[in-house]
Amino acid sequence: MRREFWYGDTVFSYENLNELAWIVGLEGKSNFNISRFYINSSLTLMKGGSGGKSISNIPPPRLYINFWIFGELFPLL
Amino acid sequence: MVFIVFGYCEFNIKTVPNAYIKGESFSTYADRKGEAKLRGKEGEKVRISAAGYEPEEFVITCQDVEIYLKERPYKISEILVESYPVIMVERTKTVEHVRLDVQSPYSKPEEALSYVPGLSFEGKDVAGSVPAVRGLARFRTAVYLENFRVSTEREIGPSLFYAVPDVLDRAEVFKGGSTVFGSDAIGGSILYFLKGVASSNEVKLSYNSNNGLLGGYVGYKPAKKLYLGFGGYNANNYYFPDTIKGNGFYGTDMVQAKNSSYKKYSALLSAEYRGIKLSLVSFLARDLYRSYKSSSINYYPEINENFAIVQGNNVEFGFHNYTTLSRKVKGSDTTDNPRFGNDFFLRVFKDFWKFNLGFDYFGRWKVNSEVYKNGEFKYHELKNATSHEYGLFTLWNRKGENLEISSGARLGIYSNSGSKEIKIFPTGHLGAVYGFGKYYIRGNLIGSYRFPNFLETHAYSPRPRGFIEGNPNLKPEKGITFEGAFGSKTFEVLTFGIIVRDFIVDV
Repeated sequence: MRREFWYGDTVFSYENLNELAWIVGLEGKSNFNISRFYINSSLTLMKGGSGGKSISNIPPPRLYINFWIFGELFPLL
Repeated sequence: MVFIVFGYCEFNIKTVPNAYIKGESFSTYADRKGEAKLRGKEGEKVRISAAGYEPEEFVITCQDVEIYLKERPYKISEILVESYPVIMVERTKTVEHVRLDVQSPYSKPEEALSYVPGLSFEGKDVAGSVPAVRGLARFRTAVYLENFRVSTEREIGPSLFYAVPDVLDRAEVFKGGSTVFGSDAIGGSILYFLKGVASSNEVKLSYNSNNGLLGGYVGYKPAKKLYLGFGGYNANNYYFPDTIKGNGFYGTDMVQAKNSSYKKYSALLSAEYRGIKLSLVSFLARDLYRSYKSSSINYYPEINENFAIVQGNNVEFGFHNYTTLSRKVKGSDTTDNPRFGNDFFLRVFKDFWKFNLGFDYFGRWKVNSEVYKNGEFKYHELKNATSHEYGLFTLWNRKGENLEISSGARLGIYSNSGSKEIKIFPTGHLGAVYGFGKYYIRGNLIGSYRFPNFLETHAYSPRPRGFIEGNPNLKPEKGITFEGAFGSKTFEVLTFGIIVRDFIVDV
């Protein structure tokens, strides 16, 4: 085999899964602007699998929040 | 305050927060207070749009203006989508519009997408990781440059990791399969758009001590309908593998990691004439190190990606030529894997009665991959391989007072030179948005498919994680996405489910 030239690396190939692969998730985002206050956030929750196996690309939960205040913070600044 | 110089005037605008402001000679965004300083010609038409508002146009009079858009009773998410033909009727889907002015320490355009809900990254390689919509990478998140699918032979999937991000203007992230674009969008699609004649002149210089990044970009319009851009980055001190705990910060790989480097250059020419837009762009990367493992080094000594794209009102086509050299060094042995080939695309679409009908083609021609060991040619992994994908699609949209419905159907056809079998797959979508008061609900049922690519069917070469041997008997993946969402112009909560049949896994 030609691949034996290649340092005895692990050999991978591809196949179709017999089971259905599934992913379910929840996504949220908000964009509030109240007076001088601004909040921007996003949320991602996901879970997936197939026949007892997990789908390798599913990332862990993630929350992203930005908070701004515009304008003068203190009268003296 | 208004300034007038050589027919151009600078003036201030006050409108709704984050509005997208597009003139004939510029485009920009209002800030979070709804303010922006504009520079345009007297008499020039300007369009203002923002999520949750009816768009409005005005003509520059060289006076400061205040334009408060009329609120829609409910929001349709892709109000800001500017990409044809998607803008026409795929209107109920989940779309995120992203400004690409966020520059990461690694100078990779994907980093600007990191806050998009449902979007993550695949790969430990910080300079080469790829975006994954809803967790689906490895050719399940399609990447487009000006509606031209970006191909790759990397097993992790496509991305513009080799691009200088400054040549890009914005990105649109579409969730779920695409009736317009076809294969590979099981998770979704990421559409990148280049800067052009609506962009401003700019000069930028960057330095980042954290990764030794030094770079710059110049964008210049020598004529009203011509834009030239050139940029380059040189990073010489970033570390592999990822320097985060979750990816092995305390592992042996980190102990043996070395500082790494890359050089990237991009050049862009964009011109418009009578509604026809031409984009010529070259992305070059040199010595881009991908991963140091305990016993091997993987890197790209050379990446050359050249695109030529022409876009009109009802037709668009393009050509992509690429050459990449991938190198693996293990002990005293060096394996080189040069890959080169060409891609073509054509898309024709037109409104007929109440429908939009379209035809598209994406082909890979003369795709080659060769394997060398210590400078000696060993074999062809691919020799003048070809693949052809055709699609016929139709889109339909109906908009009422409070209800909007969109639907579409697509027939995808695929063949490649390694298999005499022609694969055919139908798909489509059905979605609706219903607004009540300040709120809306929306739902989508979206089909998708993915034809196996050359890597999965023909690979026979060492890759960073091991030797990959393709399987020519793979069946196409078929997916269905369900979405349900509740929201207003200030928030949205969405649940989704994706089911994929014949999911392709490595074994």
